[in-house]
Amino acid sequence: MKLRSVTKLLILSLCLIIMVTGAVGAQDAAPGGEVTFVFWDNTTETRAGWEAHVARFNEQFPDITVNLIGVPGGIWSDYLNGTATLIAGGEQPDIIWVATEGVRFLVDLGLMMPLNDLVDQDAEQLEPYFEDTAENLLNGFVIDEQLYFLPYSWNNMVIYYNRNMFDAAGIDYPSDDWTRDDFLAAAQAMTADNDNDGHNDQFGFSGSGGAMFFTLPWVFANDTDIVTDDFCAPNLTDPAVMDAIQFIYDMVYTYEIAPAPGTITNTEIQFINGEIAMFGAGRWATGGMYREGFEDYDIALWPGNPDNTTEFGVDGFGIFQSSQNVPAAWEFLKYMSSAEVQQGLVASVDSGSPLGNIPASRSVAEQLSQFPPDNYGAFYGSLDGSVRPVTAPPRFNELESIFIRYVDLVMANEMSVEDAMNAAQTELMSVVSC
Amino acid sequence: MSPKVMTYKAMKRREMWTAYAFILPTFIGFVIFIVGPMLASFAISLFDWNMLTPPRYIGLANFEQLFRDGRIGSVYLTTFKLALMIVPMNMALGLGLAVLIDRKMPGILRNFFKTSFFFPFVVSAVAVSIIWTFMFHRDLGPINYFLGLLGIDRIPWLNSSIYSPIAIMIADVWRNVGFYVLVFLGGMQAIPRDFYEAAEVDGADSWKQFRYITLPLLSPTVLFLSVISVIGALQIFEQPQILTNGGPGDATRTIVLYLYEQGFRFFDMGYASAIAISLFAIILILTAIQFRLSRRWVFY
Repeated sequence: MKLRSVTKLLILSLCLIIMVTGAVGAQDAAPGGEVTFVFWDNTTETRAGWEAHVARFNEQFPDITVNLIGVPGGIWSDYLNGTATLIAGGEQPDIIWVATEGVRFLVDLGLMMPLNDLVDQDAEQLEPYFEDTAENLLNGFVIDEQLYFLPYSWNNMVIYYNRNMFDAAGIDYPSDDWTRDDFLAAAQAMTADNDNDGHNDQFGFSGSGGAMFFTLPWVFANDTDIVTDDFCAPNLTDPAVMDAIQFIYDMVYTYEIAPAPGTITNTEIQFINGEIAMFGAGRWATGGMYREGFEDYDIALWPGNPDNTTEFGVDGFGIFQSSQNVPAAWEFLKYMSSAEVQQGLVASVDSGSPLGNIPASRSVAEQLSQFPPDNYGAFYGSLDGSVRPVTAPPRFNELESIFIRYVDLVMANEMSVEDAMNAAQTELMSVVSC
Repeated sequence: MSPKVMTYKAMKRREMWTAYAFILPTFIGFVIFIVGPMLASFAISLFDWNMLTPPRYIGLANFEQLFRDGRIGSVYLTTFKLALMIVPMNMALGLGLAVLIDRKMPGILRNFFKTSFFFPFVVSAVAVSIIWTFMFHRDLGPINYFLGLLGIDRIPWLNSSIYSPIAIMIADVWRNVGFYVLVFLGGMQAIPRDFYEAAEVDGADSWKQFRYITLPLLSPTVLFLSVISVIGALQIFEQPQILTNGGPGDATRTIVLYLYEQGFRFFDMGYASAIAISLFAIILILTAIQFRLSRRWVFY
């Protein structure tokens, strides 16, 4: 009897110990506390979108409080500047949303946490995510074999072409392996001076120059880049780079197939109106045409000279080294990168029109099929071919500023390509170095 | 008990406190938004600071960089060129329009002109600049349309090193001239009418009245406006940023636009502060010269 009581007591104690340790273990497994996420507040729907995602995240992790800080800005660098100002003001965000252009800048300053260990820890859970995300996107976030961000969305540069104008000119639509010469021949055939005033008013192409993302595809098509592959020196005096810039110049001043800088008001509207036959852009151009109800267009990979290399830029989420709550930040980061959240990139909640970026997950990107263009597969499909990320060494903003300043002088017809690239090369020596 | 009578001294003291109370809000704003950032800027200029990592003390290295920077000379030159275009244009046009409005006319008409000229001044410079990008559009802009009627070919206003500074000047003068008109008008209306009546009796025509009465008695106003105008022109920012983004090349890159880029685009707050201090010193010297020279031509 006595022995039985002791046994009962022992069993009861054991159960209690298991319950208590189990509860403590469960507490360890479910992180809590506060995390701050700085996001690019660039559209009227962005904040509401993130608030909805946070609400869903909290159903799973009710103990994590996510503070959302929206930083407005027209371009990525505005957002990065705003974030830097926040940090200078004493704010300590845990998670940042960054595009290719800002990645090396932040990593070079030692601000970002490598995610490899965290990824290894949740390898099984993340397996579907990595299988569904193109390797080229992930590679965009790998520096010295360390992964710093998880891809969320991205964009590439493709050629949009007006099918009506191709049909009217009796030209075949671009093939997957078309060349710069094919492009030029098509553009020349669709350039015209319809009102005979001595100035062309219908152009074969529009949309190069003015920003790095719009200029580089011609450089990449020549199988080169404006800096060396190791980001240690500028490469603007490479004859292949000069040839690309010369081609952009020639389109305006020699072949006259593209309008002069500062003469376009709205590329997409002029494209719809048949004043421009082709233009270069990413997925962001589809929204405007969808809202205008225009579907007589399609997209093609960038023409090769000779390689059809596609330029892309990717954005994703990373954790600051200074984060005081890495477990909670990591849970939120995984959730934000998930296919569930990327669904929100397909179409606008308010208007139903296609949004500007391509989801990083291949399966979610497949849903772009519900919208024009017919060749929507060229968006994600380009990642399986030859691609290069937008050239972004640590001091990207200075590189872009100097490079574009000289390209602008070329396009204003005030400096030769050779002089401009030589001057830019000299100026960039101290900016792009190791 | 006799009623308490306030002494003259006490009254003075009370008035003084009332005056201080009135200027207190402005004073607080001045300290927080002007003096504070100025002092901070002096301190930051001694550091290498990108806002994201802790600042590193580097002494006067940012000021040494001012002398090594190959672009800063041309950017300052662009700024001075623009100032040389903008200041005389604002002054001359402001004075001319003020003289025209100061003529005998119904009060309602005078107020209409004053409001019309002053209106652009109260509109945001950014909004005004965006409107001007359409005005200056090479193919669709109204300016080139009207020039076309005169047989002048389309001018690339915003994409040429020759025309873009002119475009900036036009946009700036259009926005600011109303302020000059208003201040000149105020100065003119403070001149006693007796002087003109006496001059008329002596047979002075309108030009002589303007030359020998209006202009000399307006000289303090001219001094005030020229000082304000030079300071404003050397700090011009919004118009070049929105109309041309400083280009093509550095054709319209003003020093404030340049320092903004160094600080907020390239994250070099120390160097941006050093540039700001160099501009502060230049403005200080130019203002001192203006005051020194004013002894010769300003009549109080």
